[in-house]
Amino acid sequence: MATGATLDLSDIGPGFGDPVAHAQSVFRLALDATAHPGRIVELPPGVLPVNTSGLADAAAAIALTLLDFETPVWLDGDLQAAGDYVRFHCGAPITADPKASRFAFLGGAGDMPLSAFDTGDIDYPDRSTTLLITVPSLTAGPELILRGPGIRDTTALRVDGIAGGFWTARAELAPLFPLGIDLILACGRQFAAIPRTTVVTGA
Amino acid sequence: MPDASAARPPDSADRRRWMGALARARTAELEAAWTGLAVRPSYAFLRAPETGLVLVRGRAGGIGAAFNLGEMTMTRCAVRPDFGTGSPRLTGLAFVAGRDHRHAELAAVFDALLQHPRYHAEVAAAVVAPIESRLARERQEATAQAAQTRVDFFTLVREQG
Repeated sequence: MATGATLDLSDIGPGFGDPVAHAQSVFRLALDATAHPGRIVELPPGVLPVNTSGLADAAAAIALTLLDFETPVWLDGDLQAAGDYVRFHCGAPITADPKASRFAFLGGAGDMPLSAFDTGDIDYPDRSTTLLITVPSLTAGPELILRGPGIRDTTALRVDGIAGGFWTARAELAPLFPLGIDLILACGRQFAAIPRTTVVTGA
Repeated sequence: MPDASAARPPDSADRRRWMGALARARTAELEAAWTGLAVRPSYAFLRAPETGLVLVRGRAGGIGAAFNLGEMTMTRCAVRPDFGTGSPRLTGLAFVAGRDHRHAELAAVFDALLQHPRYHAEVAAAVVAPIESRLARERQEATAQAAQTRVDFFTLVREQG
């Protein structure tokens, strides 16, 4: 390789067993989750039975599905070990600048202010940073009430491990629409999405 | 890295040479060498063979500005053989021209074996050496054939005046 540090492959495990079919099924799940904010979806059992990435299974599966050489990735401090996995399997560059990243993997929300990430630009609002946050639980935790496109009235999601201030900071981004930041919350093999259009209120 | 002496850095000149020879081998040669091997370790795919395009870049005379020569079809593969406990976790890589998945798979397996001290000598002698000598012979034949048609040009310079 001409550029970048040499990859140490000794700790890297396999990616998707069937790259096309598995990426398609995870893509479908991500689409469903984003279209129905707060809906918890789960990876099928055959997808990524072995995960050596250091990310949650769901986060790793989304990485294998969505990342490529055009999506710079930012990794939270305790997820640095996933860098080699992401570079090898996705071919995605790792960046130290959260503003320059298209996807950011976080082990929890707290250290990093949301303003550190890119909200896209007005010509291309889709060129924002999507945050993949690994949380301890999607079913036990403070209750969040979600409303907005894709939700008939309201829906509830119990997310553990995210400080209340995070949701306040997120609400402050709402006036920027169509700019904004989309969230995917991963827990084990499950994940849920909270796109920028969803209004989140605490219980 | 489990054992620094056993695991060769990926850019070592030796490894570059054998990966090149394996990439230029015929699939039948590798297949025969694989069946002829005394011990064949099992292996898992880190990345199953996949075919894609690479952009080949060139430089005129090795000094000019780099330009895009064109795209070529390439198949790559990464395997992790199971050498048993206590052995270094080695990864075999292959990048071969064309779309022959089996070729890429076997080349990657041999690349991993060549990194292992227990297999290196056997594979180097039984697999890489015959391929390299065939490649050298073919190159020599082509050079000799081309040399037969060599024409030495004499340019007659017209006298000025």
